[in-house]
Amino acid sequence: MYDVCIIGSGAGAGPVAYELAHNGQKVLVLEKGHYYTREDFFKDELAIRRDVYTPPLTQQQHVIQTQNEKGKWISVQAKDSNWNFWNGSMVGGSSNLMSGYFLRLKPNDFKLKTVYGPIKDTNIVDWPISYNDLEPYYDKVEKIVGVSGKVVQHPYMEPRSSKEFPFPPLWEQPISSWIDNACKKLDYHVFPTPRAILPYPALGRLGCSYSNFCGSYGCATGAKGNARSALLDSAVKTGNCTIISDAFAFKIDSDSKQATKVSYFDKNNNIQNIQAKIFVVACQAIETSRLLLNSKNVHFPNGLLNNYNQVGKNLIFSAGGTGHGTFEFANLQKSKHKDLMVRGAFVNRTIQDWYEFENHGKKIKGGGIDFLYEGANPTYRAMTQIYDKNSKLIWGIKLQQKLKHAFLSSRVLNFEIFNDWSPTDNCYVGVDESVRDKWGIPVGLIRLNSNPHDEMVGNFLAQKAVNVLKQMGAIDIQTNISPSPSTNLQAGGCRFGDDKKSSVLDKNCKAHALNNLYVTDGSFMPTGGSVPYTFTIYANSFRVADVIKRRFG
Amino acid sequence: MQRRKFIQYSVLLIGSTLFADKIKLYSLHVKILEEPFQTIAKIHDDLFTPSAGMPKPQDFNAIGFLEGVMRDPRVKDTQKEFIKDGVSWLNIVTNKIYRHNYIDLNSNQREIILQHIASKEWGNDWLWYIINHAFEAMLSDPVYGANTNEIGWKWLDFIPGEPRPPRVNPYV
Repeated sequence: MYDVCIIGSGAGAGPVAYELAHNGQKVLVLEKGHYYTREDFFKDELAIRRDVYTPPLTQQQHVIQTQNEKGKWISVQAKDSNWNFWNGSMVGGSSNLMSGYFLRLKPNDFKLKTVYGPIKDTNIVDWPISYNDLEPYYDKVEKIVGVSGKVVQHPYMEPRSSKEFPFPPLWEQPISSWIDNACKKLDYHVFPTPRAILPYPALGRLGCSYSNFCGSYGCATGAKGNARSALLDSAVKTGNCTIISDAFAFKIDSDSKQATKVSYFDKNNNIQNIQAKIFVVACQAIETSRLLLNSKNVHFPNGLLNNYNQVGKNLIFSAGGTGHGTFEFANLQKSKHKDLMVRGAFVNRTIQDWYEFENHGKKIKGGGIDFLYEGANPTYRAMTQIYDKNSKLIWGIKLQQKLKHAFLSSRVLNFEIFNDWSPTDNCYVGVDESVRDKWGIPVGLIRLNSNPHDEMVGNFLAQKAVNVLKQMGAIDIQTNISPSPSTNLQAGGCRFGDDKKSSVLDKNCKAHALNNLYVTDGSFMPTGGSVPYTFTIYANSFRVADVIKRRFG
Repeated sequence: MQRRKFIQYSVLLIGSTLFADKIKLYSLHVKILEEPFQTIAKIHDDLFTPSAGMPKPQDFNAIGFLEGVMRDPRVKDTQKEFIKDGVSWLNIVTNKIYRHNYIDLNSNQREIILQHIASKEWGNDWLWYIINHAFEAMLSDPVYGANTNEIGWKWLDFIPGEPRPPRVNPYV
């Protein structure tokens, strides 16, 4: 029997495996995907376009429900649509493919309801812990996973126990100073985006090779702080951690007080069972809820931990969207052309001046803006050129001239808006018994719903980003703030809280209903803040690991 | 318009023994005998008429790559069907207007037809897929058997990231 069995191997799993293996516990990690190492990752756009790191939707998928104009809920299978909620099925999970924007939550993110009040038709609640509870673990992640950056004071700077980041900022693009100058003129506070990327060899890993292909790509140097490179490799080296890949966990059994075993299909599709003293579920939010809902028994007839019908509820994503502006060489001095064509370096600029702002005399929660260059992927970039300004398809000489211009005479600067996705009754995970995966297990059903408030906040922030682009001299500025979910930023579904009737987990992310089952991916989050989730998932998983360690004495 | 059932097609390998050891390559060098490749090769010529220095579709093996797309298990079957059906629908349109298939029209007629179908929802979507896979051929790593001698990258001064894939589909 193992001391701890962890289901999943991403950001929620890595810290628990790392801490407990180093503490002497025998840890087993079950991962559905393959066991790739950094030698298996290449800068191969076609592989990314073909989703090679996620399951084929014909074999494993979801059912997605959206509301039509008449208010009727319409279901569609992912394989018949453009939806894909898989984000990296492999050891290390989707943290392998992250961009590594490691921004902390703010103290007010832990008490949204108290500070900003309720929002109509949403289920916003305060967290059962405070920023001070999590701060030591943010600090720990910065040091163990490795975060590079520079602390710059700004109006919503969160308190820090370490004065500086453990690693200096990555190599920056010349255009980063253009953003700085524009913000200075606008009286905006801009700062270098902290990244979970090592600028030089450290922590037993290589530094960044500045390959020009980072987000969506696996890291070939180990510089990116994914769960495998930063944590699991070290856990395995202790001799206390075993990772079984190609292992799909489909059911957790329990008695009335504790989880007793997990069953999984191995790579030969044979069913195997694992017993452990403690179980940790970290499959990413949607799949964690699906696993629990599919784990019915006499004690939990509606699914494991689902005594009060809370499993899967209040699924959240990240609200906001994107935008961009173009810098035309023809409008710039020749010396600037070279600046714009630098490849490999990072833009790394963030503004959080409107993390809260006033709207009709009321203080409301805002969000953040990040700037980055348009991705280097050549096919993607070429495909952005196939329509004219009237959205009419072009070809022949017109298309070819436009392509040449896009690649050789201009450069696009993007921005991303991150703001809270408000939890609602109509955004949740269920299971669809009528649709099965290749093993015959019911697939997850995802009902999607966003609140108009979130789109309003996103549009407010986008206008601030537009101001920066205009000040910089960009043209053809466009914004795209959407009510659609960010499929790679998932949280909620197993809220933590003090009330067992309205939450699934206690404040230490242990199930209210079982005394040896924890959930450590983003499922625990009642609200998500206005930053990407991975940093907070890592920090919370380290916090929970300390709780579990204490149980072993 | 109903989507028609899949029409069987075949391709003739040129020098198949020469390429026998590379049969696992994504793209095959094909000599086109049947649809949908015959018509799409002509569409490629019309969409990417050499100008502004752009390489010819044959030079980056656009049609061979498309053949690979049609075998690619990671490409949805519905998309493959759509690509094939689009050729049939295209020829329904050309026969209605000119009483000939697309490949038998002169260049002015073909341009008129392209403009015509681009104004239709299905035609716009279909041309999107044709261009999309042609760009994939032109700009993907040459390991996939297209973008021959990095001809597409050279045209756009594109520098690939390292490490580059050592072989097709190294992820399985």
